[in-house]
Amino acid sequence: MGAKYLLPNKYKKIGAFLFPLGLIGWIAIQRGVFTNLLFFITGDNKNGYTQNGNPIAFYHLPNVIFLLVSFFCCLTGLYFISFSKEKKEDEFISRIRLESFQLSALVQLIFFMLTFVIMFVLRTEPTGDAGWFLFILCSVLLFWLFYISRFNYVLHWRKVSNTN
Amino acid sequence: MKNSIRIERAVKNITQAELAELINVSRQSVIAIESAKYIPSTVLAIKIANVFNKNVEDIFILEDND
Repeated sequence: MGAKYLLPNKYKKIGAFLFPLGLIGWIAIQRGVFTNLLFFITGDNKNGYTQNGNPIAFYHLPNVIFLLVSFFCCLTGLYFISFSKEKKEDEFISRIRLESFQLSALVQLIFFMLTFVIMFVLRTEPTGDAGWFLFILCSVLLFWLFYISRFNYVLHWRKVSNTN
Repeated sequence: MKNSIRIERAVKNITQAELAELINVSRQSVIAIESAKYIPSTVLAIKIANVFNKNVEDIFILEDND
């Protein structure tokens, strides 16, 4: 990948902060932690109406907003980690980057093929739109997480194992 | 392709980090080149040779299977 598409190195640190924060936030909101926290803070209960007479749906909007913010925070963090330069971006690092992209694409392809084979053999498939959305999300995340892991593994393990 | 960078470094008494600084690459690159895990571009090979005041073919030696 040409260096002109890459962000400055400082974005890697921002990404390393944003990605786990977004991921934890996203999972927590999906598990209802945020709603329960709001109930706890306001003293409301889940019986239909809040103390102020607002329906429980009153909590829906901030919940959705925080869900979207954390999800995009997670994706932005992933983007920053993947697309930021190393401190010294040279031809060797560019080659590792390219190899990692190729390997990630291969892994994603194998994931797709295996998933469809399993679906065919077991005669099952993801249920509803949410199931398919989760499948697509997993395959996208697999690509990026595999890329980041492979790239950093090769770069930093070689450094550790060959120093003198 | 083998190379004599490690020997030349020892002769000139410079570390991998110092060589990396001189040729403007990362230390990981020097480690990979030195251990023959990565064959550098022509430009980088010439830069390395210049650091040691040698010809490129004195530093990088072709092997039979290349």
